[in-house]
Amino acid sequence: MKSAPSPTPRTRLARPAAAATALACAFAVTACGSSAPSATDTGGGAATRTVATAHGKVTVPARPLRIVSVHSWSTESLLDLGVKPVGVENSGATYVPSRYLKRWKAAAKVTNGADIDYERIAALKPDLIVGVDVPYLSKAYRKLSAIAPTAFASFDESASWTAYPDATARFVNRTAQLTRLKKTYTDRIAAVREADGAKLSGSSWDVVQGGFDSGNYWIYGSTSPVGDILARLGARFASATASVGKGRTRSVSYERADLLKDADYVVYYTNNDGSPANDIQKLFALRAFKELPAAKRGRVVGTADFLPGSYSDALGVVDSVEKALGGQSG
Amino acid sequence: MGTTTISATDGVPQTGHTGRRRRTDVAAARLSGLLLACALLVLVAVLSVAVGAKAIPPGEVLRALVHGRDSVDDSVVLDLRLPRTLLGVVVGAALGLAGVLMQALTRNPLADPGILGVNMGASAAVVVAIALWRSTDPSFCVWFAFAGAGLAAAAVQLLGSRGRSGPGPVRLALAGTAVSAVLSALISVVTLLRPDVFDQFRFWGVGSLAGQPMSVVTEVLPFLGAGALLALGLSGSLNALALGDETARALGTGVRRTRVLGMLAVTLLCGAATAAVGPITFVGLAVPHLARALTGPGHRWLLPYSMVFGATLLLGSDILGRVVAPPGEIQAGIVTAFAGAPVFIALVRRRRIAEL
Repeated sequence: MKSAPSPTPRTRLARPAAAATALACAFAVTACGSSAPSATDTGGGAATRTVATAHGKVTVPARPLRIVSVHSWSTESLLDLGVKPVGVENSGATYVPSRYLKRWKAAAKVTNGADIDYERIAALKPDLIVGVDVPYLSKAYRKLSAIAPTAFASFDESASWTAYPDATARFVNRTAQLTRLKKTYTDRIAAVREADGAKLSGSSWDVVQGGFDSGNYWIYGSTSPVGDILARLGARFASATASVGKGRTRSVSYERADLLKDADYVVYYTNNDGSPANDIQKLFALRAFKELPAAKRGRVVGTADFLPGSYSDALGVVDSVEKALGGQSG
Repeated sequence: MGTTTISATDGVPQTGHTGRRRRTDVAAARLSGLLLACALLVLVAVLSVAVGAKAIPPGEVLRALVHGRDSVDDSVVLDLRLPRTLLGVVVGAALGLAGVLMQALTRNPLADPGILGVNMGASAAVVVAIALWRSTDPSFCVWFAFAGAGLAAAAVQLLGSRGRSGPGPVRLALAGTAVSAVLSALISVVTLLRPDVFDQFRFWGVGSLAGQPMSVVTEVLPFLGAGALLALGLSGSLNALALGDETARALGTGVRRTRVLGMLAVTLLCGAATAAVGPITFVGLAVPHLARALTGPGHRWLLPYSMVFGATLLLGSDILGRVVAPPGEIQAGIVTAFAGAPVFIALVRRRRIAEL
């Protein structure tokens, strides 16, 4: 098994990788996880509070009004919390979940991942910049923090997807909204478990996507975002996904489609229009895949929310799973 | 006392009867060497069909080749391994030939498939195709890549041949570098402005034989065949060109005609190869040097040797990429760079790179 070529492969903005950075972030993760924000909000607009970030404690406005997001996960988290950022990253409209697309389009675009437009960010006069401390953004932290208080969530390849919306909510002081979103999510999980618990626990699931290396597809583990959601739903994992370690992805040759043979369901990543993302249709076209039990029974489940950046995205995954179970013929 | 001449066709000195006999011996040795190289290529091709991420017994592989698709394993052999094997042979041979042509036309021992703008032309065209039609289907992109390669080569030829001195090797190399730089900038602009295009382009950006259907082989084969025939037909003219433009003219070689036809062959070979599998580095650069070490500078032998060596190197790299990181694979374009670079360095250290 090898490390994922990219833990969040859909965009360059969400393409961190480096284990070294993950190690470096581990210290910050500890800090972030253990300290709650210390509010000094007196009710006035100029009030500040201190939040723990990947780069230590940062003083941020108690009620930030002009927020710039430089990473897709924090953007999706903000939009889910009802916050309208003045500037966002440009990961390409095709990768923005349709539920956020209109609001994402309305915001100024300040980075495409490779290049950060510092002048444009400064011109937006932000009072807070948020993001995720992936390697390319970590390098930009010093310059960004010279423009406005900058709060990055610690990046760790093995962290749960929930770490990013949770951190973003803390940064922008919207924990009450976050709690509501979490409750909606957990209630929905409970409802699906109640309705389809037997089907979920009685079937085995693998999680895959196309990957970026020609001739290979990627198998995701049980702690991947979709794996985490499936686990909460009470699903059982098939051997391919079960064998992938925490925070890792397994790149596998098309010749080894047979690794998915004991899966009752295979979940894969789609574009917003429902088409297979990252060329996985090449795998689907092979007889070796078509002969798999999941493919024969029509249990190959696509979801555009494969890499959720918010609780609403996660609900999208739950919807896809529930829909697949609804079509179960036995 | 016999007379001494230099053959315009194979560069071997001749001195009367002794010279003729030596020339016959040399030709026999080179023919034997070429047959050995072909035998090695056949062996590598057999390995390519037999070896992969999935262990399939040799008997099953043979059965699949003879009887067709009866099982999933048969399908792995016929749908995955056979197309990539054929693609490796034709693309490797094309890159080997194109490398010889480019080094001969530019008289530059470091000329590679990028120097005349062909690779970059193909890449830029694919980026434009993805931006406009959002498709990375090989059957679709192959034509754009080929057209881009042809246009880039034509632009280089036009720029390199303007002026009274005509298309000299330095002018062509400079024009190729300039066109490549402009096209590279175009690719950067499009992929920076359109992250979704970048995401699609990267599937093609690293050369790979994997995952390509047989239709890609049949689509590019006519172009590769035409380019190969053209290149092999130019061997005598390339020998003369190696002596310098003035001498070549004195020997009756049409210098301009040779360069134009050579560029056309490079476009056909390199453009179609790049279109089919993406940019593959190193093969076009190193294979001619490897072959030249055995054949000497004469193109009559250098061209076919480079074809066979190119195919063997690319296919061997692809096989290596399949077995080093199971159950995943490493793309041939990456392996050629890793595996080929030490070979090239060893060549350079062992002997001076031949003057072209």
